[in-house]
Amino acid sequence: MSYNKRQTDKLIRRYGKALFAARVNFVDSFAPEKSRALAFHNRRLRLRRVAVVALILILAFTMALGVASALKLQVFNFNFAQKAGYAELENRGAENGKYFYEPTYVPKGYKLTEKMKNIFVGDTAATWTYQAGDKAYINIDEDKSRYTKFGINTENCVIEKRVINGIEVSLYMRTDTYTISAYMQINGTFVEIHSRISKNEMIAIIKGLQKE
Amino acid sequence: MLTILLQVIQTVIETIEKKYRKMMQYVSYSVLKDHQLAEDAVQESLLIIDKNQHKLEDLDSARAKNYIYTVTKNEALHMAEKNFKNNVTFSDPETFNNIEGDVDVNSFCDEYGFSAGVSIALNQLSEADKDMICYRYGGGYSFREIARMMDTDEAILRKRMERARKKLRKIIKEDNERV
Repeated sequence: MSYNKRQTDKLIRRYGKALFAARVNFVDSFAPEKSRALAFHNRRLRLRRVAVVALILILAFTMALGVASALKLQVFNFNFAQKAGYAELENRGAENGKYFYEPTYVPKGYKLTEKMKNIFVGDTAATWTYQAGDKAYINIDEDKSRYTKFGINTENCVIEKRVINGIEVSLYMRTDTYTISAYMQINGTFVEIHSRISKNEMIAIIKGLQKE
Repeated sequence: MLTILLQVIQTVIETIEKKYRKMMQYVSYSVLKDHQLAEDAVQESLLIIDKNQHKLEDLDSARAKNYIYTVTKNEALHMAEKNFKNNVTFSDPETFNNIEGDVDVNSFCDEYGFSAGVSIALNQLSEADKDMICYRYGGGYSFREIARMMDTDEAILRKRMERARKKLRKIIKEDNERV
């Protein structure tokens, strides 16, 4: 047998064996045990992907909160759009508020001079005005409509977020006029309190708000 | 008696389906790139395997696995050819030369030190030639057994093997002379 013939036979034999082994290995790779291992591997891969996506979402949300905080935006109860010199505030309660919240505390010297309810179409608004002397007022405006939207002058304003009695409150304190405004949403009712009083007095008024 | 026999046959084909259906679908789809056609090819292959159950001694044996793979691949190729004739175009006809489960010829030649010329020659072997070499030297079947499995004549197979051998011998001779 010539060398070339022996070489050819060797090649064909090896190739035949390699082909056979490759085909059997390929078929074996679909065996239930291997499929299970593959499925386990895929599940782990999927979980890892989900974890990465979740991490990205958490990071994005944290960053959004950070940006919102830096821009003095309230992101939980209201929609705020920060513009040059003012903020646009929009109540975004899931549904209309059911109650008004009446103040049970006002600082010494203030007396109720006006109380109006259902002053607009739809019977959703109410207002309380307290007065001490000729120029000192406390105005409390409430609106049960979930479509409340208005602007706040933020020029020369120090803005602070607080949680008072479980309610998120935005305090806008003007450094030029020394007025203080508080904005909050209580069970769908939007509440605005405006006066020239101290922050502690404002907080005491908020703490004293009670369902009518 | 006949009922028992039918039940046995039924059980065998069910076992094959259960064990190998995924692989069959994968091979068919890798050739046909169409889920419907691939499913047809699997069904046709199961029919062929059903008819030739006597060739499968043990469903878990390497020989059985090789046979089921080969029948499925050939049925898919046959269906692809038929659809080519019916003017159905496939995005990548080269796929037919690189069916999953086959040997990577270049790596094989590198491993055993065979030349690029041998790689080309092996790549040019028809699927029928590859099956024949695989059955003969991998599975250790006789030419008579292979002829039965491939539905052909023993003499034709012997001639085909001789042609493949001659072609490869020529290339090896040229390689050796060059060295």
